[in-house]
Amino acid sequence: MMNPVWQFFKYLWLSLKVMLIVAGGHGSTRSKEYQKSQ
Amino acid sequence: MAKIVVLGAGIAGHVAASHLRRKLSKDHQVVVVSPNSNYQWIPSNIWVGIGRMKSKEILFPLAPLYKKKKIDFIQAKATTFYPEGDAAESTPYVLVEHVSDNQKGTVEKVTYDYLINATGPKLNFEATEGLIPGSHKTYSVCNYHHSTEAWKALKSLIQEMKQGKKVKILIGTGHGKATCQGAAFEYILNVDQELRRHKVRDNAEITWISNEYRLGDFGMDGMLLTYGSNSMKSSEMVEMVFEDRGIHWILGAGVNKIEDGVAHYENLEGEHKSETFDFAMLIPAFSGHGFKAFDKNNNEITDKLFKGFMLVDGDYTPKPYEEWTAQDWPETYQNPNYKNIFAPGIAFAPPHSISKPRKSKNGTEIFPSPPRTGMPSGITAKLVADNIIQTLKKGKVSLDHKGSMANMGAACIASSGYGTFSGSGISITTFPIVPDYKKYPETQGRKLGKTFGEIGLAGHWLKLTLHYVFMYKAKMKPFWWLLPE
Repeated sequence: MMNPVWQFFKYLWLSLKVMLIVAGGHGSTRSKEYQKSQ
Repeated sequence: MAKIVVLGAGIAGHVAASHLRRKLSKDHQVVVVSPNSNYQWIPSNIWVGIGRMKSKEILFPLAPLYKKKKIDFIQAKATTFYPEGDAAESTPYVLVEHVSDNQKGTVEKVTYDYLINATGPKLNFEATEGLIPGSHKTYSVCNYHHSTEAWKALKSLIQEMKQGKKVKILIGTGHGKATCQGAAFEYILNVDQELRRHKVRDNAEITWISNEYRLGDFGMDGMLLTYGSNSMKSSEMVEMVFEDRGIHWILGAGVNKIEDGVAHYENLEGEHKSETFDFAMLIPAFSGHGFKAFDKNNNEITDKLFKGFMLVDGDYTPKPYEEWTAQDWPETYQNPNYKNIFAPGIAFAPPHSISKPRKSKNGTEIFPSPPRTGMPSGITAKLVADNIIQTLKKGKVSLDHKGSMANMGAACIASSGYGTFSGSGISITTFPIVPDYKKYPETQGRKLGKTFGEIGLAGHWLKLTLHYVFMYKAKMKPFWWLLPE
């Protein structure tokens, strides 16, 4: 069994990381800004 | 005043309708048309399929919620689109057929100013001969009815295994071009865990069968991801998990026929093989619903709206895999011929697959179709709703909200075993969903760090949290709109 205390901290870190990636924005790939960043 | 009709009440349809209703005044009418009387949180069907959740925990009836929130609800299925109206009706409309007991078979014209087609996929079991959930020892976890049946069969098999019976379990994709490998992946790991819990794992040979060329493709061409302080291919990660759990695998397999306890398939070498089983869960091919469309003179114009799924602002020019670009993927999900029609979620026609297309030596296509489920469905539905809201508020066409799957992140929190302390989850995030090989040439089209994998109990807790959070959000409880898609 995994250490639940360590897993709890990992859970908080995972939740935050997933939230930042998924809710961290989305947008166009055809805009000039995006094309410039390539 | 505008009338916005949303076809479908799955993740995309429900998200669009709820945001429209919250942000638009009651002068505007929001109508949802769906043949389903219940909303279901599809990702948790996995747990219904192993008996760790009851179907009632993952669904709720739509009519009372919509009545409370002033969203009109018609329990019916759309059949035909008239985007220009007809000789008698100048307003665009959709022909729908009621399915509720008291109005079954009644056909109605539902007019609209804006139409959101969020009808998702047709579960095309017919595309594979003999693949019928609940027969020939094959099951599905695509909806709560299927998952409940799957659990009944699995439970009975576990009882037989406790008497010493040795069994073969086959889980994966049931067609050469099926998608949603993630759901099958979750299910196989959960079945493995449940068999261990019942102390019968040694009596089962579990096999993964898939149209993927490599393990961990997931319809997204696989990915290079950060794992701890290292980088790792998703194929290596899944192989590690399968090896650890003693799960066998068959790849590049296009299942084409099911007989009682036998799956027949063709592989990329063009060989015709078969695999026997006592229990199988095979994801079917997804297809469009076969809608028809007509202009105001009653001429058929289906090809202006559909190419299987609905045509939107993607680049559908046929071109070889090497020439595919991130820019091919749609951003506003607006139909190019009828600007007041949109198709978020699974309902839009993808410009091409994400995984590299492959054919067997006999010319049979065997590769995953692109996934658009879960988070991308919610995100694309919200941006479509926001563009309609902005257009109505500004009084002019506004398409400022954009979201290409090639510039959007997604998370796949795959349960790999249920249990408060014994559970496990495989968390994978990917950014972007569709790889952009020009922007991220060194890391297989994706941004490392934002594309990462993690295995452990924390992933199970996160998956469980998401279940409760998204059920709360779907029920439109206080401040639901603060929760991201």
